Amino acid sequence: MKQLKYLFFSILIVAFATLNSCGNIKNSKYITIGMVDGWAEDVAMTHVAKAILDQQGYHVIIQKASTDMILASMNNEDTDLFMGVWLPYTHAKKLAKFPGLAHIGTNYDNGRIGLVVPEYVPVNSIEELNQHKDQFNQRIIGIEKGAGLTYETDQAIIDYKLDYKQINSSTIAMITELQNAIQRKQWIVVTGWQPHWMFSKMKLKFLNDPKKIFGEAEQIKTYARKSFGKDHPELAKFFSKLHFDDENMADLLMKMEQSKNKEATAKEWVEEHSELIQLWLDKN
Amino acid sequence: MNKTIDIGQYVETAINWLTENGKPVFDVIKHIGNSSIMGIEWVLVNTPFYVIILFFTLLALWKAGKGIAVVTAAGLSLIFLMGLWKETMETLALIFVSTLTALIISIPLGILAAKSTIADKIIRPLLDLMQTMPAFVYLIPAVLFFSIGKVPGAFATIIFAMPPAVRLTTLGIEAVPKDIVEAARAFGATNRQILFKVELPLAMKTILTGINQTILLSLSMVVIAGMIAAGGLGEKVLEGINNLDIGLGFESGLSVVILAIILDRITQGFVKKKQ
Repeated sequence: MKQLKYLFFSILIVAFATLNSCGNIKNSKYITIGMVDGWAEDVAMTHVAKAILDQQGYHVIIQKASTDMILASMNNEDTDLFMGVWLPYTHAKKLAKFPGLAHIGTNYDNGRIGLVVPEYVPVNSIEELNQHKDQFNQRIIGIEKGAGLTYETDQAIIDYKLDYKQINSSTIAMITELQNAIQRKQWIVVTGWQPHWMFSKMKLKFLNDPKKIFGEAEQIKTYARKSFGKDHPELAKFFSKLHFDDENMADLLMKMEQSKNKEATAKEWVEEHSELIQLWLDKN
Repeated sequence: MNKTIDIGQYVETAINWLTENGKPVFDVIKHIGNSSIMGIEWVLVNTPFYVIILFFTLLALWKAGKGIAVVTAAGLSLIFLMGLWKETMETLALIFVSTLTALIISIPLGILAAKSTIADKIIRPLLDLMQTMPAFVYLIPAVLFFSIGKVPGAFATIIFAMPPAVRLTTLGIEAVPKDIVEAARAFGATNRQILFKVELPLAMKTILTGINQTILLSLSMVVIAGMIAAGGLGEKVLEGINNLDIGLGFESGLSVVILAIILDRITQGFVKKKQ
């Protein structure tokens, strides 16, 4: 017992000694960005931002969690940024719950969500789904319960009076189902969004949505904790300028999807697009 | 579904009230927790890997015999060679702090439950609740109180891992033969002396088993804590799952298993030595 006591105290002393050398996490050079692992476009953009800011002498920490958890954490003034807010449709409800967040920039303009089928399936509109419910086994393969897209899909099932059930598990399970179905040339309908690498990897199409349940084009935006702009005016400027066009986004997503080391790939991408990055970093 | 009784609403109100009014307290806890986890992590990551492997191997040799020592050395070397050393050390730091905190809270609670019937009646249903409530549910208040990061991960882990230590402490003390306690009392021992010199030493084996269970439970919670940015192996496992990366998922999962075997055998060694 005696030795244990000494061991315990020595560990405590070491812990407190290092405690003071660690520095405060709200230190102006430490930036935390929340990220939803599995959202290809969010992962890609976050890693690009990290690569750029690390070069500028910041220390970016990526925190992986789910959307609501990240928003709650930003609302508490803890996490600095989140680059994956879809507006005006998908995340409007979630954002309304957290009034203490600041919009600081738009990263991408042509986001789209909806129901997706492989190209070989001869169905083009959500209204035709009921005629083919047996081929689709009356199932729409969804993503996580609680996602904005999941909610919209439930709404679509009601409004189009679809004789279908949405099956929810996770994004990656949805993609796995889709890949398996395409390999076997089976019929499948899933909930999907663009930009996403699955559109470059597989031949897919969105189903027409005449009732506009899934809205029109969506923007992907960066949100920050309330006083971020005050604490880091130069970074708020940078994020207001950061913007990907379709070509850059598709190129980045493809490279990220094929890469084993996302940080290294993002670094390479930043080096290849130095002109674009210079525009973003421009102080004027 | 019509709701006739809305219990969730009251829970939500209570949690929201705590979030609003407890902020200063939570911030202090967050700061202390963050510094201690980061501090231990810093030590573990910056100590050369062979020193740590040697330390655990010697500990295993001393407490659990030659076979386990070989397994420890081989297992930790494998983790290092798979390139998951840093994550494993992060996980170890999180487990260390969570387990230690859980024990500081749960062993006194266990003693209290053994000594007082009223305390036992209150603590027991609480433990039932803590053990059966799905572990994911703890993540919600954890994030509301402490945001995302290591501290909410530790918080959820502590709640999840505490019950066996409490239960087994109570069990151990209740199982101390009454005549020994009577004899000690006859020799004029105070309550305090009876507790520290008679009951706790005799119950030590059962208490150590509780500690062993707490360590293993906290290890199983680490992966779930990875969902709220607690880092370490849990995050790697989830990364493997979220990117369909079978190799990474297996490697990080294997690292968790290796860590579990080593920690289990070494703590069991402490139990066996007590016989």
